[in-house]
Amino acid sequence: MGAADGDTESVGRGEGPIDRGDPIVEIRDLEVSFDLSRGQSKVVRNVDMDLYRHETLGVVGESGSGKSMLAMSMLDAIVEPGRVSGDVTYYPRNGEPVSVLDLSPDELRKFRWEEIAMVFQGAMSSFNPVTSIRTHFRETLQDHDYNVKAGMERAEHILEQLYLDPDRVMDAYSHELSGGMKQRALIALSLVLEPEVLVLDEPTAALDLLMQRSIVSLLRDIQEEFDLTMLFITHDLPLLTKLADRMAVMYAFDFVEVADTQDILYNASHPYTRALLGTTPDLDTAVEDIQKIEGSKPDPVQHISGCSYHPRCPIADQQCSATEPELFDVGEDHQASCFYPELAREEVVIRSQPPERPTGGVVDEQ
Amino acid sequence: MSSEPVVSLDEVTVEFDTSNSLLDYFTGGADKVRAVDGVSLDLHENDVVALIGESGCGKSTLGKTAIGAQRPTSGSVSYRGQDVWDARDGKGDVSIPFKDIRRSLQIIHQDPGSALNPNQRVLTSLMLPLKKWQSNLSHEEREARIHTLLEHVGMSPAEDFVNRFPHQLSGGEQQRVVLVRSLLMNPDLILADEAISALDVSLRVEMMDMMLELQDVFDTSYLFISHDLSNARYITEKADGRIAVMYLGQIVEVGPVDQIIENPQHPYTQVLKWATPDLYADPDEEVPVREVDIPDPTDPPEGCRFHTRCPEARETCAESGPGMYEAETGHFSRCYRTDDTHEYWESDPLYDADTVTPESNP
Repeated sequence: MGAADGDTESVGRGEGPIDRGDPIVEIRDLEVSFDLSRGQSKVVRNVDMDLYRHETLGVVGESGSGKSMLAMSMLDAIVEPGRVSGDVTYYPRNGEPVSVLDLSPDELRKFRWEEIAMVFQGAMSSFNPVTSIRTHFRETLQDHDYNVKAGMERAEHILEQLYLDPDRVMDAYSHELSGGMKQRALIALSLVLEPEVLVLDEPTAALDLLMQRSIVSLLRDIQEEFDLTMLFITHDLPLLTKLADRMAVMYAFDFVEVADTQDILYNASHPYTRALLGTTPDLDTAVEDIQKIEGSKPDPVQHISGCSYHPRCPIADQQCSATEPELFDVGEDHQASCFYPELAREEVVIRSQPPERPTGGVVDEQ
Repeated sequence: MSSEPVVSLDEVTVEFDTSNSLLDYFTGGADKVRAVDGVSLDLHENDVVALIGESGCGKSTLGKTAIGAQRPTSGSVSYRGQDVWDARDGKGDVSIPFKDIRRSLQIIHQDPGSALNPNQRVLTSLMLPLKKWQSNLSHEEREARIHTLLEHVGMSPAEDFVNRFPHQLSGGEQQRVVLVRSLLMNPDLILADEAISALDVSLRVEMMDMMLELQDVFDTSYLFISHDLSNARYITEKADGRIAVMYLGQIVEVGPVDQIIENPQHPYTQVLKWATPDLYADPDEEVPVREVDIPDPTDPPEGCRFHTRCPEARETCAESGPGMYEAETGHFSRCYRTDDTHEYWESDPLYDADTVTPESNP
């Protein structure tokens, strides 16, 4: 599938340049499946993805679209009876590429957290309730043979960056912290081994909007300071647009559109992306202009022939129900898996969209 | 709007003991949390009021108090003029029996999966309330009524759905069954406590539309609790309703939806607006509060409760808490800034103009 292999350089939201010729993680033909009594459930189907060094890639999808499974497979963390196939390649700054799915258990233990760290939604259950937060930090450093003293200093610095008082938080037990504090402490813990990549799977979903929005702001500062590459997975489209340099929209266990955030917002070319944008409630949009998506999402056991979105798509025709579209290039660094991107842009109207794209952004050819 | 409210809350306070250790029990040192502190609110016929606020602000407790599921520590809750807890205790002349009040005030929870009995088919779940409250109906009549309603919420053909178990339904379908179940009671008020928060984004708008459509059919009011301002705004704007903003047990701003969105008075409401990102608006980086964490509700700040986080706080705010000021007709804000002539404007800012920002990067 048409992964962008141009070498265009662009400046993302952070100051660090994103080199599109230099992926840090490369996923090819990834499949994750579970055997169920009623058939094989394929929750990730033939996914290709490039994560570029220093970028924030946002993966957006509804629940059950396969986005968490994609994240887990980056750390080879799919649990039995799930089965993974395909390639996940990690390119360290120096040294040989690492094939993540082929690592031995020992190598994997070192790889996780030191190279790629992950923050899950359930911060509540990520801490051991009977040990203090300080112990979590210290043991993590010890187990990975890091210098504990330097590491603890770094940890305190990160906590401060996240608006937490290190003295108070370090001595606390997890039940003494609020959900938002726990989530931030977990982000700090995930950064203490100085990973290159941080994968965040719905890190803010259980939190209040104000905390979500604050964490997103903090993450951007942190990314800059620690030279991180981030993969941020969420169902929350508006929040993601405030953080991601590029976005990948997932539908029915595969990507349907990948582009720069501004291109997703102003030039979405897949009918599903457009429908999703149109259904997102927005304070500035007149209520009559907030639209619905007809139909229901597909079952992972079912195999839909052709394009997985065709049963819900207003512009689908016979080709769509017969042939599966691949990710076609529809613009510069912009792919969509639709046979009719131009028609989609014309026919699938996003009523909430402002008529003009703000100036100053990259204008791409229509 | 009719003159007499369906449900009227008057100076309602709800306290909980937080004594969770044995030591507290012996020393008498148990803290009390005032989950709701002196809230007055009227809900009228066919009214839609959205209650928003951060978790722990007391919105669910207030909601439960409004439907008579939580006894207030002080203050009163009345249903069409009848004090709900007097009716419960049989105090005085009870004009409306408690069981009728209970039936008229219904609730839909956040997680429909756990609100439905996993071992009961949809039909059984929906039959039970009808059997209990409308025992004069025959089995066929009940079944017909359930079928009509299910079709009405888009679960058609109903025959396909009535024999399913909850796990055979999607989240959206489960929530619709729960909504149908509460509507079978012909309620006057439904408390929808984060009822759409667990649904997929693409289903939320549909569910809210359905709730409003059914409101027309059943003449019911909604108290819609949400932490999400954009959803609260959607449902209230379509129904021409109101938004009430809660912070640490108090309503800090209440008014018609347009005024709350277009002209928010309270700095906290403005912060919530910031926290609700628009798709197309440019991100404004600065976090507009001085503390991202909510103060401990067992020990709320003196003076205005929001002053520890408020970017506009002045000395007056730390000294005494403001009452409600009317900004426009029916639009009230618990902030001195709403009153142009208040001494607040003469007092000194509590903090530097800077909001808390971490030290700049090295």
